[in-house]
Amino acid sequence: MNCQEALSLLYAIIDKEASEIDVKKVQEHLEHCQECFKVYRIEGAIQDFLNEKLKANQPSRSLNTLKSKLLVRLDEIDRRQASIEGHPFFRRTAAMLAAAALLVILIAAAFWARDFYRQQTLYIPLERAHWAVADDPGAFKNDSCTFLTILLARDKLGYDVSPSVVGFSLVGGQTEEIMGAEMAHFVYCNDDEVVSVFVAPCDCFEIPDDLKDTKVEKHHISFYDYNCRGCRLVYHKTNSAVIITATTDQSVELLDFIPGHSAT
Amino acid sequence: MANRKAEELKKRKSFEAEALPHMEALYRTALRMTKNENDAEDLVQEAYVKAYRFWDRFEPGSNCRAWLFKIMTNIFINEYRSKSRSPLTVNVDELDDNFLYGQLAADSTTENPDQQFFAKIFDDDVKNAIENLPDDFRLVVILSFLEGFSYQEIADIMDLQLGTVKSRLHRGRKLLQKALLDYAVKNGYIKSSTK
Repeated sequence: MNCQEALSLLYAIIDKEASEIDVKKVQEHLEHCQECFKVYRIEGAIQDFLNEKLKANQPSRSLNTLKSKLLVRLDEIDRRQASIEGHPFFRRTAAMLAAAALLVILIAAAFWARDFYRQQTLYIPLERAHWAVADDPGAFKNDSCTFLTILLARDKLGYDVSPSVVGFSLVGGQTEEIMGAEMAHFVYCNDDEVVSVFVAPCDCFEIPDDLKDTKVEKHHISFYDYNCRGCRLVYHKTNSAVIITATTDQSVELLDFIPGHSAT
Repeated sequence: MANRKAEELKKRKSFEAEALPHMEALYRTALRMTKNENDAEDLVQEAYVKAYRFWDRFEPGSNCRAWLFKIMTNIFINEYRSKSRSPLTVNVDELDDNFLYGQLAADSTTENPDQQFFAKIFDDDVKNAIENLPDDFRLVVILSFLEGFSYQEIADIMDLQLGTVKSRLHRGRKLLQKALLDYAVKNGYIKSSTK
């Protein structure tokens, strides 16, 4: 090993990062090289001096104070942890809150489910039934079928339908099963508008709660007016039947559209 | 519930047994990092509080001292380090290796020039020299000189590459030697041959 190599390892050796083999080689070199030995001795002394001075100047305050302060803080952390997670009050409150939240969610879900169910079972089938004929009312034109339906409406549901209503004339009718009940479905047309009329048994359904505030009085009749997705449905009751008029033509005034009267 | 309490107690006990004995070393280093006792106490306390919170993550049997230093160094770098970094006024690369040795060897006529030199440097001179080092160098120098961490340990503590640790230590060392020599020259303890 020459001097240059020996000196290049100086700080690695001082920092105790050199390999054993390198340390041994440098030691051998230093044994017969005065110059390098001197560098190592003085640099080593400088390092020892710095290390020593760095460790001197120790704090005036005692570490014990710092230690006891820290222990107090650790106690606080432990207590806080315990009080948050373990306190009976917290646990009882948490349980009650959770139960309350669950209850609220259940109630909301029940309301939502009821609305959803009603939409599915009540409005949508009627709307669908009307949408099905709105494009092609002529498909209803079957005289024998219409005749039977008129008889059904009069004999079973106690409702006589008129052949023409405010400029619309009866195209045809058929019986349909909607919501588990047999209904009479009539279609009226004028030149470019179509109205469906459903005559349903009175016990088939009640006027839904959320329709109650859509109540409109006209011609001494109470109508319930429901409008959804471009299809308007208007309900009113007679003694023995529920009459629902439906249209997608917003220009038709359904409140004036009385398709018949109770059979006498 | 009782289980939990026992668990907490166990955590506290193992923390006190393993982490607290390193407080002296942490404080010693914190003092060199922050340069004043109040900040040093806060820093040590913050480091311990954080270590306690994350005690579950400490792997038993691994190097607790290095782990604590890593936490403390991180807090220092993120929260305490002076916003305006002191710029390097000396171009370190211009300084020769072993130049302090060169100065000492050239200056004196006595047998042990270094002994005389050391006798004349005061504790405060060293303290100032260290404290005036730029943070990047100072941290590495402190961890190495004061705490005797290996290059690899310092790299882990400061999240640095091994080569970066080596070069910072080398530059820090040269800056430190330069500063000490300047003190000695300024106070007339030795004559400078490079002046």
